Amino acid sequence: MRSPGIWALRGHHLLLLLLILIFLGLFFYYPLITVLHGGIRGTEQRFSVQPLISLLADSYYRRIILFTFTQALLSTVLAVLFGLPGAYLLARFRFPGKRLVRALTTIPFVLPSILVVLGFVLFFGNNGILNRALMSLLHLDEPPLRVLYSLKAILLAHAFYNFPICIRIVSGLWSRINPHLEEAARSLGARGWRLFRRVTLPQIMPGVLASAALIFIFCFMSFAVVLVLGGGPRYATLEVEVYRLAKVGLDLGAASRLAAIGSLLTLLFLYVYIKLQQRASFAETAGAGWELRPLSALFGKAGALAALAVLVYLVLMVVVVLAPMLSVVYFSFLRRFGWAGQTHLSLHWYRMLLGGSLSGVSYLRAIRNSLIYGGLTVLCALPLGTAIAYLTGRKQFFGRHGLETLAMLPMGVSTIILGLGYLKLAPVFRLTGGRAGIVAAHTVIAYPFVIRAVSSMVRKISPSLPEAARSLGANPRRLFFKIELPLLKPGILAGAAFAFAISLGEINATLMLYKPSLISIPVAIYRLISSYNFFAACAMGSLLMLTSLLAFIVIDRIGEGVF
Amino acid sequence: MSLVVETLQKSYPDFEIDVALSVGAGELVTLLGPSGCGKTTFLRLVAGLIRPDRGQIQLGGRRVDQVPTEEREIGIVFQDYALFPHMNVAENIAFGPHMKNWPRERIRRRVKELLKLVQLAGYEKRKVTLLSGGEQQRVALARALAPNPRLLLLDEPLSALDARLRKSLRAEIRRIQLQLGLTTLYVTHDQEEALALSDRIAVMHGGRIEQTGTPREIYRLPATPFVAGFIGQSNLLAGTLLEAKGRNGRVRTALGDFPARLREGWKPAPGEAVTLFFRPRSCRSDNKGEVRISGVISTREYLGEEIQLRVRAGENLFLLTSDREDGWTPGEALSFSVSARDCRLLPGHPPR
Repeated sequence: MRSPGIWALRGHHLLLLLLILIFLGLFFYYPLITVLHGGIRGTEQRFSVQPLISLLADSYYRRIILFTFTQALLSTVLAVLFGLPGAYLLARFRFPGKRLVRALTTIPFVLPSILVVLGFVLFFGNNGILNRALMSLLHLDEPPLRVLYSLKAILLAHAFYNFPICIRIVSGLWSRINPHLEEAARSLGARGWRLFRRVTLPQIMPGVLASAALIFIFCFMSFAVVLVLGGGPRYATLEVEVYRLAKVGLDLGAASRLAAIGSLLTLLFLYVYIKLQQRASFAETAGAGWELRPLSALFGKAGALAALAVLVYLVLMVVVVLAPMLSVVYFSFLRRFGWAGQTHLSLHWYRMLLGGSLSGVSYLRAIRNSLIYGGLTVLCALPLGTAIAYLTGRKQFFGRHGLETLAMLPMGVSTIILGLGYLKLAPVFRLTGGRAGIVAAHTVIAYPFVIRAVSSMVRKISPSLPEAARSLGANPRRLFFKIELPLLKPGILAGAAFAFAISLGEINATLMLYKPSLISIPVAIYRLISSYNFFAACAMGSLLMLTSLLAFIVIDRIGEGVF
Repeated sequence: MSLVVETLQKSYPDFEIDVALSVGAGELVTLLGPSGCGKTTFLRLVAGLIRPDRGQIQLGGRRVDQVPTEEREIGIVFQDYALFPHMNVAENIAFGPHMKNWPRERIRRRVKELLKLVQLAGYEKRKVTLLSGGEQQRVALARALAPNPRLLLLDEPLSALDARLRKSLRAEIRRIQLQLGLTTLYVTHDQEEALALSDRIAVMHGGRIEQTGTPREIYRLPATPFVAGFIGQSNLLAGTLLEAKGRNGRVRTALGDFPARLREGWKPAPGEAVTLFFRPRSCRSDNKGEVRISGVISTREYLGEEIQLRVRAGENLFLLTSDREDGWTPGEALSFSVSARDCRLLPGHPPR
């Protein structure tokens, strides 16, 4: 029985709320509505769904929408199937290297998609490390695996990129379900498959569905992977087509119509995800935790076959995630003379970073820009995300849930479409054309992650802590600075790392707003890949990977369980 | 510093609290009641963590109900202790004095003094998250006492501890409270705890105070069937008043008409719904008492000090205790009696 009365917003909190709403309105909702509005405006400048219908009548666009949907669905199924065994191992067993495996599950949120693309090409490509290894091992003349520039490549990249999400969400839920339920079922005679299907599965199902929904949204909105690995209009998704229409075809009208359809779909999916996630977080949690068994317990009955399966799985998991990344680093130290010449180790590409430019890409400018974007994004997203997490988590006020929804909506709108909105507003808003536009876009993309990081800390603070501080004489200002802020600090630091990593790896909106002077590291990598300059792309990529890794370590170290 | 609460009211959609209570200077009053009775809400109203809809709170003769919590100078010990996890023991205890801007040296002395008081001398630099439950509880108490509060509020401070520790800590809380002469409001659902450490007990039920009195009054002379049922073990039998003469009355129950004593000053009219109440201890195995009941033994429990029997008579189940260890086989018929002076009539029917 807590009364909202005393927590009702006072002056400075109201001001904070107003600032939040102004920022969101200006930099997210206004551009989004501009796009949607452009999508449903007929030629006579009147509202009409006619343009949308005629777009849907066009078999070309219908195919794109269908393909977007199909590839997302297939990718999701693959990612979930690949993730579930990992979730089981992580939730129920202890084994050497578990920390590493658990840490790897943060990767999809931190690893820039352009690095995934680059690593994928280098490792799985026709001339990639895997093919060459197989060729020399099996004495083949032709590369045995031909996956690049096809649906296969898109699906594999999506699955490998996203299966850690499934592991993360499902293992979290799995380790929280009450172990007594399974023990009770066993005492009642259930075991093996029936025990799993009748007792365990129904309990982890909310987690499986929630992770599937999230992966589906990510794959549906995936851009760089499809753009590069799809390799052409045959495999265009909504996002890629919007980008092409806007930046290559220069047809903002058609881009807006397609974007409107895309946004409506993704918002629908986001709604489904939120509903599923609520169910997952309401799942029963137990005071008693699982007693983690050593992996060898699994081998006891099923024997060597199970041991082999687990080993293969774990190795495959690490290989699939790490090998492409290590390939990037390895290639960055290679140099080839002539088109078919031998490669040898060299620091050439790193020396280039300090000076020159290649294929019209200025390295140094890209690095400088990226650091500026990253720094400014942290400066903007951190206060924004922290304020929202604080207000929605610690204060009771009318419209709290509304604010939560308003603030989380950007996660359901593609960054390509956000970029399109800024592009359309560029004439109105001088700001959105230049660097500030990119920083604003990055902020909108990054702050939901700050909210998540800070909210997890806000939820950990017992409501009696601020009450104790007040009873001991702390006024609201001292309460905030002496108690609440120090307790939130780990979440804020993790949020900062997220924001920085996301800004540094962001390519979609940046590419939409791209001008040569605004180039960032991921865009530079993309341009180098486009001109088949893989070694240079790798040097740039290694640099990006290093910063992502730092952010990743920060998040891993302080993101959870500081107290 | 005395606390006077006048008809304090607070409404919720499904619950309403309406209380008046005064606590004398240096007195320890316990709010006792089942969970959901509103005792914690009442404590939070006094602390200023919730605003009342109506009513007054006076502390030391001065109204404080418009004063924010941080200026009320009230020490609170929370159920989960609410120790600040980012501060060590000394920093936690120093928090209140620090908020009052005491000089550094005075704060240091005060921390030392309090750690000695709660028997944790030398714990200054410990991390609070690494302390045991009992130690955390002592630190929480020391922290609440540090800025010299005018009133101490304890919200089920011992409920997270095991039974043995609870007993020794409650004695210690009482010792410290008496030593400091601190006006104290103590919330608990544990009747034994309330009986053991209170000057007075206020029994709460459904957002209201049912009875206030010394532990002895509450136990011996419960004013309502709820209080009689909540404190200690009791037998309650619904009935209708036949007649009342002074302190002697007669009641008609499903098991017959019985004489019983009335509370002083209470003048119910014949025909009123009343409850016949007696303690298990008052039951005798002979038939010398005026209230005679026959039934069948339904259960027998060996409790070491005594044997406890449940006897079914009609619709009712009575609780009896006996020192005799042999006999008492379930299924056997049993008659018992209670003298009229051990039987009391209470207004209304027993709570279901």
